[in-house]
Amino acid sequence: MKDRLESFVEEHRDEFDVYEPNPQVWRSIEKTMRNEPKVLKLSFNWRIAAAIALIIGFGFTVFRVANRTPQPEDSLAKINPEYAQTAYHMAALIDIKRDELKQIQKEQPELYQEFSGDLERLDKNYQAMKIQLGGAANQETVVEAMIQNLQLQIDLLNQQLTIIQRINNKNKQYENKGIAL
Amino acid sequence: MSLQRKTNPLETLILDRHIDLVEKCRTGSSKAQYELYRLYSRSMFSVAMRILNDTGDAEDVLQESFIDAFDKLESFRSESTFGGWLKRIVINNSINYLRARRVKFEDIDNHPEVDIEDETVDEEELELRVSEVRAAIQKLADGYRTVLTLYLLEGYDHEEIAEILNISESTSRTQYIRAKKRLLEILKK
Repeated sequence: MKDRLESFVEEHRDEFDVYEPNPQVWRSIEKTMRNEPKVLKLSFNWRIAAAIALIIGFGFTVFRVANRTPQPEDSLAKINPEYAQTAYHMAALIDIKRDELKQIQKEQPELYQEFSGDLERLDKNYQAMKIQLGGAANQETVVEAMIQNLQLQIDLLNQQLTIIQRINNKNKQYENKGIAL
Repeated sequence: MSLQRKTNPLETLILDRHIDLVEKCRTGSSKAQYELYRLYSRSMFSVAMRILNDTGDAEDVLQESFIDAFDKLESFRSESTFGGWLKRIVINNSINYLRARRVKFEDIDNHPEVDIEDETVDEEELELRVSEVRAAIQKLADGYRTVLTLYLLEGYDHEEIAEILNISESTSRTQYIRAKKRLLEILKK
């Protein structure tokens, strides 16, 4: 059972909320909200969707690498099948990474030109070795050099892609925008 | 006996209208944020004022609470009303400020039980006025004032107050009865 005080307060409840905050409070809130980086918050469903997309993308990449038809490295197979296998996996990886690199062609043509120039030099070297291979006395050594060349190409591409990612991240920071998963 | 949150149909209707605003806030609309602030700032500031009894602290809590609310809006589910959800943020922040002032909400379970009924002030003689009751509440000590306003004005029951203040339910009851007795004494003067 409510006592008199309790009933009284209940009856006049609204009259108790009479305290008015200083208008400055809203200005501070507004300022804070405006300065906070607006992170696009994804709902649970979208997070799931994004995760699935990532998994499918990854699976597709693996599939592409695994099913790449061995072409130019066929001549290698006669010399050393193990090397040939390594070489064609590496070549496939290079193709994928080159595709990735191509995506910056539009946005940063100068950077792209520089990056692909470095790659071309390595690739020319590789193609020359491939021609050499037929008549070479020590084929194993040439094959090793070819593999090393491919490894260099991969390393170079990795570095280039890291640089691009860093540039992109910086740009994102400037825009104060991002997607938080 | 308890003054638990009563939802009258009109209140529900008003709150449902605010759900639209909440949705707009989720998309980051500052106009919607201001609308919600305009609708709730006075009642929320009053909640903080009653607990803290200090304009500066209450304004800080109000500011922090609205920023918290806008930031955590996606964790708000429509199971509770927006006002109820926001109020809980304001109360928690206010309590944190009080604790920083070293106010302790001590458990008094182990203390010998005071026979409160015998000491009850006769309320019937008193003629109550809102402004006087309001002023008298602000004269209570921090611990008493908090328990009393949470129960009497914010509509929480002792189970909820125990959870908010991290005390036992019986402590909440005892503190409330003592606070009310003190309040009536102040009003009598």
